[in-house]
Amino acid sequence: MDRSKKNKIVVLDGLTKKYDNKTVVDHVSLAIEEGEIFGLLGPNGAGKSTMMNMVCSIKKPTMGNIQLFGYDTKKDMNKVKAKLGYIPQELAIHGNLKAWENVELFTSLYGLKGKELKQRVEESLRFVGLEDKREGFAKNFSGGMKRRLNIACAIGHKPELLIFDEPTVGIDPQSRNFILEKIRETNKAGATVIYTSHYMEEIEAICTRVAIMDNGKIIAIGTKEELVKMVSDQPCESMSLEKVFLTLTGKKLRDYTEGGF
Amino acid sequence: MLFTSIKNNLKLILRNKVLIISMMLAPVGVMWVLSGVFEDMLHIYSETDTMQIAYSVDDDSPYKGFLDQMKNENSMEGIEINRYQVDETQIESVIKNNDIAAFLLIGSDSYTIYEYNKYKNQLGIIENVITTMFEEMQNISKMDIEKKKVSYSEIVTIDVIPMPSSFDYYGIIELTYFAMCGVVTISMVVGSERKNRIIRRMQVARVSNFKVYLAKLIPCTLGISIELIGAMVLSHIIVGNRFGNYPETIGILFLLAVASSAYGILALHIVKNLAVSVIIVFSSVWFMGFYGGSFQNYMMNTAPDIFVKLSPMYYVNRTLVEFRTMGHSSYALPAVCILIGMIVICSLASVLLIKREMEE
Repeated sequence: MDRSKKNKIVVLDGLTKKYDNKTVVDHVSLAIEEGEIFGLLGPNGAGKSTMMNMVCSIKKPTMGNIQLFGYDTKKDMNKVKAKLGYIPQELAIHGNLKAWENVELFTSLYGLKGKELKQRVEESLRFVGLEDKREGFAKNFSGGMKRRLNIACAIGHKPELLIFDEPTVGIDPQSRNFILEKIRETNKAGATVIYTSHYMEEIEAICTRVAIMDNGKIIAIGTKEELVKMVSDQPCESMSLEKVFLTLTGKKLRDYTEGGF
Repeated sequence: MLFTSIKNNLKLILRNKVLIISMMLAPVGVMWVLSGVFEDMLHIYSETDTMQIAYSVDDDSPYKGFLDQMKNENSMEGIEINRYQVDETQIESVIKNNDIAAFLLIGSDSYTIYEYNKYKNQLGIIENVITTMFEEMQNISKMDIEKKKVSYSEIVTIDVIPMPSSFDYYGIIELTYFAMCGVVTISMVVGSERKNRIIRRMQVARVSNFKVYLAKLIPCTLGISIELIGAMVLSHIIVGNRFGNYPETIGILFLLAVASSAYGILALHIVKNLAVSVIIVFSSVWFMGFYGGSFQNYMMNTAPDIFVKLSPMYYVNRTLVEFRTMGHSSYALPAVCILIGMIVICSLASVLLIKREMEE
């Protein structure tokens, strides 16, 4: 694949986020191309979610610029919001609403209404395999079903860029496999995907390119082959991404508290 | 987006049946207790403001006997009756010198009431008393109707403020109290949004802050309205509480529901903690009620007049009570103005706070 001919969907330039004196994201610069499944790998507290929150305009950067689809998000964020789908790490669904009502509510936020909205709701539920559970209340769903519903709520408006923030936390292998399959399917249908996780095997399984993040900085970026080459002369097949990751980030435990250290 | 959000937020409210039923039953329970406990207090308050009625009647008038009897028995609660033998030209000075609320000049076939404007608010009661008195006399005199005829001419029209029953009074007071606590109703939506961090989805999507606000205000208003209708029906069935002038009463109550929603939403956006917001709103509504004179207690009596009149409850309660007792109220316009003012101020502040939240 010739990367130079592809459109750059996401361009981060010196992106920084500080809370008081703590720098959570530290001058991150990278570009993500159209059609990629870009993996963002890092230990807890590395700054992955904060970085994705800034890309989605949930948090404001302290410094640096974000370009999405060629638009500077500081000036033109509203022009790109409809192209963006965000699947948050924590479930963002109403327990007291039925599955279809949750999808309808969050899809309608993108201006869809009437028959089109109804159709998109059904498509989204079918996509995540919840069409026969559409009348069920989200609070009664299993962990895996809730995760799938969480995804359905973010894809109804057919976004061109999908950001998955650790979407498989705390679910069974079947649900995890289903979600990963669906991410591949979405990507094949034309969506660019950013996938953050600290599960190496997931990143290894679906991502075309990976950035490893630690202490708010991107310490390595490239395909698996490129990353392996950075740390070892061994052939790519004989070294797991986990080994690369541990070599680059070290084995020290990361104790992390959200919102402050 | 707006319609879908309103619809789903309303579902979040209405699916909490325990809350909806509690908000219907709680005011009925409180009004049942209060109306029983404070029934006598309403009479005490009416008695503390004893008013004087004077009358002038010729010795040969057929009504003299009745009036003298009433005077001697002092039979009307809160009203002192005295006889003066004066002519028409002296009435004004007699009224002012003796602090008389109303003077009744009884002729051969008519009577005239002279009112003292100082007692404008109480004169309605007096008119009721006099009317009743004459009706009684007329009923008795029917035995001799061919000889005596009473006509009610030249009655000076005055505002009528008859006393409401304790059930009606405390029924109205409690309904407005609980209606003002709309924070409980909207907490079903805001609580779920906060617990599930829904705001992130709104931040990512293209949503206007005003629409986010309306998506809370409208279902909350509808939720409170449903609770109010339920409470009104239940209170009528259980304690016999009644309202008066229903179209205008419903109008005031609807405005109150909007104001209460706006106030509740603002509280929830100022104080991030749900429980603390509910406590603050309940406390502030109780203060508004006490200072607004719901119970005519020392808090209202000792508070500066301007402070008392800043309380929306001051106007709303009086309006609804007067609608019940008279069918109209001079407090209605100020009540509408203060509720609209409350809606506008709370809405503007809430939209600004939502904007701040959406921007991080």
